[in-house]
Amino acid sequence: MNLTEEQIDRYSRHIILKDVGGKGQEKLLNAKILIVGAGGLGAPAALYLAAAGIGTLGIADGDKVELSNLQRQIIHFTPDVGISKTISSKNKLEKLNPDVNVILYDERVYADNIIDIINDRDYDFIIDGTDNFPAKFLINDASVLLKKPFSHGGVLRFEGQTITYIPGNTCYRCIFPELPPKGAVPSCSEAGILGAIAGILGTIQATEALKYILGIGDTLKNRMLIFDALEMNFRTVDIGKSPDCPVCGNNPTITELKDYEQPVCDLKKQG
Amino acid sequence: MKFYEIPENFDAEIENYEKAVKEFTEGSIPKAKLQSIRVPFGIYEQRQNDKYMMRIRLPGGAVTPDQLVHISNIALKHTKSPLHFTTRQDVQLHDLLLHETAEIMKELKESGLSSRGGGGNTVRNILGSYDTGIDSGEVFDISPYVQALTTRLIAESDSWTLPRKLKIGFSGSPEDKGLATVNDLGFIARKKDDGKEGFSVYIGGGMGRKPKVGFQLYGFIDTDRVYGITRAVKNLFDKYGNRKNKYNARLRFLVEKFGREKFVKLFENEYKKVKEIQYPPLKIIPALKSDTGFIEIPLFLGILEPGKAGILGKIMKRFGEDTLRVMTNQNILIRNIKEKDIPDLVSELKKGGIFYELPHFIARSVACAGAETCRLGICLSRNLLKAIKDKLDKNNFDYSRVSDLSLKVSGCSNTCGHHILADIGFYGIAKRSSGRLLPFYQFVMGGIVHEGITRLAETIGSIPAKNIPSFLHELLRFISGSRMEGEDFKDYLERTGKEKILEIFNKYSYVPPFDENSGFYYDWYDDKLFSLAERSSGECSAGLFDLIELDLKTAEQNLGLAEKAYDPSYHRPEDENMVKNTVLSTCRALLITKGFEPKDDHEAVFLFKEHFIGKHLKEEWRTVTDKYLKNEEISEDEAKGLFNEVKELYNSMDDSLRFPELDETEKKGTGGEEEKDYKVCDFRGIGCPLNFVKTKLVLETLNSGDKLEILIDDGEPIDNVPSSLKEEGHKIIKRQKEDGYWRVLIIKGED
Ligand code: SF4
Ligand SMILES: [Zn+2]
Repeated sequence: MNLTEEQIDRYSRHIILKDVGGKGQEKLLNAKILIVGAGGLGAPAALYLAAAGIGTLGIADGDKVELSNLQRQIIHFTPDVGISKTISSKNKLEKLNPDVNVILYDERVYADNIIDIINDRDYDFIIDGTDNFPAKFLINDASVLLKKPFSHGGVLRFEGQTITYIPGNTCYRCIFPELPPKGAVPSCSEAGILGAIAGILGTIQATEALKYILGIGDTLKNRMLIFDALEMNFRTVDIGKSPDCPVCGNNPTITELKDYEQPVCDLKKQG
Repeated sequence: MKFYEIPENFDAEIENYEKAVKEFTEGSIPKAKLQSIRVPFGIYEQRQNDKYMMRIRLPGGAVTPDQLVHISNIALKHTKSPLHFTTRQDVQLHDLLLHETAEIMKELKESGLSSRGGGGNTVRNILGSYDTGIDSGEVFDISPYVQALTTRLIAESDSWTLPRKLKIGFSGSPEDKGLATVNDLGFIARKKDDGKEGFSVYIGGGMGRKPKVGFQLYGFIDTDRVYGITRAVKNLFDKYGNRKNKYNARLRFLVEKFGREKFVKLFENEYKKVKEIQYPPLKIIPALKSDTGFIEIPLFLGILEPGKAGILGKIMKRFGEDTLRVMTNQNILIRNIKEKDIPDLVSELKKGGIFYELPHFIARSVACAGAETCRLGICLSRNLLKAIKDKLDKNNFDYSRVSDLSLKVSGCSNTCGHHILADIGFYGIAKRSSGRLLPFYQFVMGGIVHEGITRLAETIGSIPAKNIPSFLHELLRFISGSRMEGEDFKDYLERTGKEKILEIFNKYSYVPPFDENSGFYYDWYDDKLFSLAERSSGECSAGLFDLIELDLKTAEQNLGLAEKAYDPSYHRPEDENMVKNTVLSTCRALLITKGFEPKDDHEAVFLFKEHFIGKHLKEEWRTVTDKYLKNEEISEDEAKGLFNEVKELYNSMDDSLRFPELDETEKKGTGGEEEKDYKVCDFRGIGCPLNFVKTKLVLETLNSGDKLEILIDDGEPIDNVPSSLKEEGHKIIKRQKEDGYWRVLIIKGED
């Protein structure tokens, strides 16, 4: 593959980097990344990944744009209210970078479709941009079973956490074996979020994806990054793979996917 | 008693040195080779050819009376010249003969002394507060650490092969008399609330040409970490230090290069490794309790006749072994004596001609060796200090209100005279006027050394050497009159501001033309016209760089003016000369490296044409110099091209002031295009950074070791692209100026 003149120009600030160069840029152009959830986390991640020249970007989301989304889901604009998030995303991404092939999955992920979605283009890396625990556990389990790396991210109020799963290493369930009991999940009134914080986390997730594709630096493998934006305090906690993990441990109890019940308050509006 | 142990292999080292001297004398090794062996032994060639100086290590300035007698005897045997006590608390023998130097080293060793590490890229003499052990205000006596660390470091062979010199200082209190905050590595004694002794640690400071205050690496370390930290610093320095460019090689440039955070991280990595190795602890011999009496012997200019040094040693023997310290202000401190003995001792010292009453201000003033003996020196710093003293004495200046002020003079920007730490300081530079060089100094003020607030003196401006004594006389009178009783100099400067001082200063910055007063063109007490030509025998000096850079800067400024001159809206007739002036300054800049000092403009351009064009620069440039000499019009582009070429050449100058020479084909000018066995890419017309991006993409398709030639535009591209490629690990083997563009030949580096 040879970069066109336009591509050389467009990606020049990548190519200048010693760790990227023309070869690295070609890797990005050949890469396939799936973003599940085109919300607060998925929006910045999708924009940065498209800008970076990721060749194939899959977007899976079953929702429509609502006015209350716009406070943080920066890929959607006011005139988009009412149309599907996937279409809204595709419109922006293609304008941002025509090099990117945007594939849409206009549906929520469930146990019975997620495998097909991931296998559709044999994605190299998955970004969890969802806002609810059932989806997060589902993405984790699917990725572990299919041996796909993915980036987990979660934000609430002023805090965020993220870990990168690389097959063979710590998965989300190694840390949180089961879904939290219903009462432990914040109620609607508590579930606010400062929009920019979703931006920080989604951008970190995009960075992890890019590093993984390029094969540079250290990803958040076996460690969780936790930040508190009020204190503006970032730290990472080393977490090893758990031998008792129900999905990736020595004697896994989860060998096929199943859907979990959504907690009382549907948190998707704040994801 | 000794203050350090000389390692066992030292005899063998002296033998090797002796062999090298012999080989040099027989002509089988070149001077440069010998120099590289000689300098790490603390032996330098003086300004005078075939005269040598040897610098003897005295950790923290400590020397026993016996050792002083021994040094005195050696000096009397081999040279009649005075001993020099230096700001690094060591002592120098001067005017030695090369073939006697090995013998002298053997003699020194008999009394446990060594000059190893007195020069070169080595661990230098370790500084220590001169009054440690007797200062009632100090935290604890740091001598045991200075001495134990010295013993350890001089036994490690990698102490002699560092990328650049490594200077360490210890202070017993935050007053930082051991200059810990302005050395590469510094330790300041500290005690925790629970009484535990330790140090705060400073790193990345230093004097030299680009002085810098160190930063605090640790607020407190246990005393048993001193060696580990030093070891880690050595490892770090060894690993990342810049061995190619000695002018940016001190530890502080690593801090600059990596940034403080990364630097600390790299250091911590090294320290972690050091901890794993478990080096044996330093052998700390606890200091004995000392008597608190002391006498400071003022040595004007740090000089002491060898005979008198012997007398001093003999007298002090009666008082004990740990009774002498060389001070960083070039005086000697007699210490550890009983208060009641002082009056008798003073009269005995006076009788021996060792102790003079000198005003404090003069007694504590400092001057480095300067151009009198130092090869790097620009000005005669000692003579300036003498001239200042003469002037003040002649005018019966009342020293009483300035006795706490420090005056320090260096002969060049290398800071050996510590001017940058002084209340009032000067360092020598050369300037041009009437087409000639004349001795100048930069005037600096307001240096402070004290843990937490160390500050380098601020440069006020340059002043002709000849005017300094009068200027200082007026300045000191003004200060005496306007400073309040007991007012700290720092507070004084803050209170009064600089304006009045500047006003006085400006009165003295004027230089008369040569025909009017040629006296300005001679340095103090020198009968030869000021010149730098004789001193450029293959050794770079900071002063030399200052001078070259001054010319290049002048050329560049003229170029700027010339550009404006062609713009009708700026047109001023006098600017038209700027093109010619550019060519002149450009031609003159590098002549000094070959020892030429042209008398006039014409000669400058002529010498340049004769010695640079066709040798280091392509023939085609001859038309520019010819035009200048024939007084024909030179275009701005021509001037600019020549300037860029010379600047490039200066950048490629090596440590011995040599320049790359043209190969045969280039000498003949642009002949027929040779066959090229490599790819050529034309990136003219492509701006930054896209030209670099494209070059990089082509390089990716090649194998390491392959060549690639690119054509890029003049200006920003040639300034940026080659250096960026170098950063990525590629080699630039040729840059060739064509008409408005450049050919750059690259060898691809490792992937
Ligand atoms: S400051 Fe300059 S002149 Fe003085 S001793 Fe150092 S190098 Fe020589
Ligand atoms: Zn797991």
